[in-house]
Amino acid sequence: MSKKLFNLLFPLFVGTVLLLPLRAAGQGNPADIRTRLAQSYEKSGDYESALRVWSELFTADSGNFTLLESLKRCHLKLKHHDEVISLIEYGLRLNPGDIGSRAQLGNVWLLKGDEKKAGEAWERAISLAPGEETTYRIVGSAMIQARQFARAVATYQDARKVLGKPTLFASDIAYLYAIMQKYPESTTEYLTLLRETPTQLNYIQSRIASFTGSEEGLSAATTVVGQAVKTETRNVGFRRLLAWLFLEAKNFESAYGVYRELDALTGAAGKELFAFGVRALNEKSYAAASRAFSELIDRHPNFGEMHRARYSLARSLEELDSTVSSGEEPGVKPFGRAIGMYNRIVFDYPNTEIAGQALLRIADIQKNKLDNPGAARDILEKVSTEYKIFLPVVTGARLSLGEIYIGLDDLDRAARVLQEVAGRPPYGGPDRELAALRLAELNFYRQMYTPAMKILADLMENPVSDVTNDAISLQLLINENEKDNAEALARYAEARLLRAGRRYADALSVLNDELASRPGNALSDKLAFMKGEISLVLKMPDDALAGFAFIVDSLPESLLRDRAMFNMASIYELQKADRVNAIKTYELLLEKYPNSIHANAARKRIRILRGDNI
Amino acid sequence: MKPVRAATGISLCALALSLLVPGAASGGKFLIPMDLKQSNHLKAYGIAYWALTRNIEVDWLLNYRSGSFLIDGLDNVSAECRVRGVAYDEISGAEAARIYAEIQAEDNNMDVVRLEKAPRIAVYVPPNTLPWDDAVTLAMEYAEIPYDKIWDDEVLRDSLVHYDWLHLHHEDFTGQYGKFYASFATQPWYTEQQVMYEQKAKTNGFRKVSEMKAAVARKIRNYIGAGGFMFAMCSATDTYDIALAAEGVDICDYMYDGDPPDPGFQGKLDYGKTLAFTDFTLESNPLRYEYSDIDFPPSDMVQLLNPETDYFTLFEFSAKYDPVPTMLTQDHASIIRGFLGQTTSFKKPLIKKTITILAEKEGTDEVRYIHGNFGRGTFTFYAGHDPEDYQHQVGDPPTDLSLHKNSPGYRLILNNILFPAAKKKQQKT
Repeated sequence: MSKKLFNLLFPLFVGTVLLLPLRAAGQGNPADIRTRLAQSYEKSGDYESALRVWSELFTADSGNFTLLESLKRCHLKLKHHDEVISLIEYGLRLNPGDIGSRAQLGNVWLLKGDEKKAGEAWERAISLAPGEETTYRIVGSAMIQARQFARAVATYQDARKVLGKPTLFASDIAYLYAIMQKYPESTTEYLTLLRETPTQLNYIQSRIASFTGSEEGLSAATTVVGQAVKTETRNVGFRRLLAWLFLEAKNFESAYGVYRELDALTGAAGKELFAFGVRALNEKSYAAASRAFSELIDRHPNFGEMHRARYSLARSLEELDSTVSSGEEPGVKPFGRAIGMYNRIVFDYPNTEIAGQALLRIADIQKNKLDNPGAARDILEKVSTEYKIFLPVVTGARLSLGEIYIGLDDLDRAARVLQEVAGRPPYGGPDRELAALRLAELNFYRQMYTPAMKILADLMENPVSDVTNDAISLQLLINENEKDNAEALARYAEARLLRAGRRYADALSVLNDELASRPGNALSDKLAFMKGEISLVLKMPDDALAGFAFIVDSLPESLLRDRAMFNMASIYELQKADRVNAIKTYELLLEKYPNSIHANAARKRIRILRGDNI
Repeated sequence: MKPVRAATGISLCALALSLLVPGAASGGKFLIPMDLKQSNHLKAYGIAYWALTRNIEVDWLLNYRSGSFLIDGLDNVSAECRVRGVAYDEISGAEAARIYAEIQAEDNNMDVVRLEKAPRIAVYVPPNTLPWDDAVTLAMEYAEIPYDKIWDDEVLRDSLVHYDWLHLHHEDFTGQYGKFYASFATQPWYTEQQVMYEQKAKTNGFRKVSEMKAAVARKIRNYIGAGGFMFAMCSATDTYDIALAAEGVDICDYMYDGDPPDPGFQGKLDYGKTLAFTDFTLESNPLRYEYSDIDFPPSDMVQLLNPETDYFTLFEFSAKYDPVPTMLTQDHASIIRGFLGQTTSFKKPLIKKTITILAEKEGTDEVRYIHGNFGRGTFTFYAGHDPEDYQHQVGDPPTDLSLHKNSPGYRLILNNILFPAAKKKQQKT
């Protein structure tokens, strides 16, 4: 053994030898043994035996507070409330200033069922040191443990008065009021806390959120905070809390008002308005969003993200015009405000991606909302040549342009522009697949079935594509009719092309001619169905009914009968307000085609029409 | 000649007469099959209930095509079946008579029970919103069977006399708030629930929630004794019996009622007061999510069950001699997928001998579905929480029954709802 190791181990050896007798003496101490015995009894739940041993020990050492606590604990477990009271009072005689024991006495009196004495004990506990915050904390906690929430609140409020600190215990009182479901009082206390420490806003929101899930809680909190905002107009935290409450309630109109004030109050120079506007737009609250963006643009011309603000305003206005019949306002062009704002973006930020997006939106409005494909085409042609570096923009423009050329019967140009997007098979990517489908349809319109079928077959290599179902449907149509029903298929393709170009009257003429000249051909149901659909677009419900009724009454083998019947019922219900015939037709659908994919919708409509509580 | 069986079934003569009911379309009937041909088993019960509310008699054909219904062939019945998506067959009077004859044949384990009165239904449910749903209310909502919600105030004021059928929501009658303390004590719904229950107990003159819940349990027992029907699921089953057994004994720890349980509370239980269970041992750990050893597996050891192999089997009863258990076990499947709950199954050795076991996991002591009589009434306990959600957790969204319209597990619930509609029959002499 090295000397170094010897020097290290020798003191340890000596120390161990010296301490061993002490340890042995400790193990043999009867009091220690009995203490461990009592603890074992307690641990096993045998409180009677534990109590017996603790009592013996306490008799021998009655000034020992640890033993006193053990005795109290066992008596409490055994519900010996009188004994616990005696022991607490004994302890208080030894230590009269023990606030905790005095408060505990109150709890035991309550367990014994004597509320009056409990109250007296707690008051006495406070009287021991009424000038100390800790006193109220100890007594309040004892009351909360006894689930005496109202008393605890009163105690904390007394503390405020006595100590001259009107915001003391605000968080505790707010929490207690919340669990007592006194939401206005709870909110008032949280406002006290927020007034004192504005940085606590997030914490306060999370606490208030515990009761804003209920309508009652949300309403109470909103009312209280709203009143506080009126009286303390410069308090930013209060306004942020109010705005959050309005957003929780999806009350965007009111929230907008608060964000306006916040923007002004905090000197945010539009940032608050912008953040609110984006949220409102995402939540489809277009009126509030458009007001926020308009105000931002008017008041803060130097706003850092002005291009985004303008684009968002235009989007809000476009959506607003889509939902409201703007044509009703004299002198206001439909979508005029949105188009104006998009044009301003194009003018102010030329050759940028956002300008390209704005042009795409204008083209979309012209094509789909204003039925002006010529104007849309001009815009999209400009975008597809001048915005080539922005791939998403130019792809969107060309896809849309392809559809417009088809509608305008300019099929060669449509094919060229769609081919640019689709590329070569396998197509891959939603835009390319959609362009390929449009190309296949275009070939179908031209009665070029072989190239159409080639594209459709390539498309079906990706079974999870969004366009697969449409591709299968077109493929089936061609397969089933190309040889045996070529003339009717050609007329059907012609009618579809006319419908794509919104030349509805011409389409109807083709359909009627074909139905009259070749009654009962295999495509009669499809022709009649399209006739019904086009009549609906032209707001001719009786003609639409006749088209669908032809399928129901005259084409018993048609797979479109349930769909035609459902459409007839819908026309009775929605176009002609004929409740009786609507119900009758929906019921007929259920009777004849109980397994139709329209059965569930028919059931629902019947129940709504009957006024059932569903 | 055999004595007339007055206790079960109805006579062929009466049935033949019923075929001539005015208003019935050409003496025809609608057979609502409840075997695999049925498109919507759950709504079929709603149709039977709907018919009863319009004083249209319904015959429940026990064990005939999995418990089919036969209803007079009125036009509005067929229209309503179509609207609700319930499959039915229009049959002639002669065909109906043939079916009745087949059912009545001695060698067929089938019988006919006439349903004649729509039961008035109450669901015992707290007024606050809790983060879980209740399979029975889901089933009734989906089947469009109307019910009233009642709670402690109504039970304590003897409002149960207005109802034929009572369902106990996922409730804890022991006053321990579902024993969710360890996991959810700080959640707003938990604290709100505790305060609300405490206020309710105080208003009703009770010092503790556990005392009020025990009083409610006793009122319900009196209701059953006077002829009521009680159906309970999940933890409402074992906690109900625990509350009855613990009358006058404090079994709750301090976090539930502010003081410790009575010393030696286990030895003070009176099993003579319970409906279904006996000799059970309470779980003394207040932080453990389990009430007693009635439940298997314990709620914190559900991994002992394998969802892939967890199925239970319905017992078959003699339709002609045991119509009540036969009604309760009508189903198109005899082996049903198990499902967990705070109370997942009942340990067989702890079930009283007088109780009828309706379903159990074969080869084990795990009983899932039981029925018993008390006084002039009856009760049924069905273990588990949601028959179509194997492990329904707190906060999970409610099950969409339109996706489970042929659920065999949910059918058992709806059997219970129609059971009180059955015509009371003379006792066998």
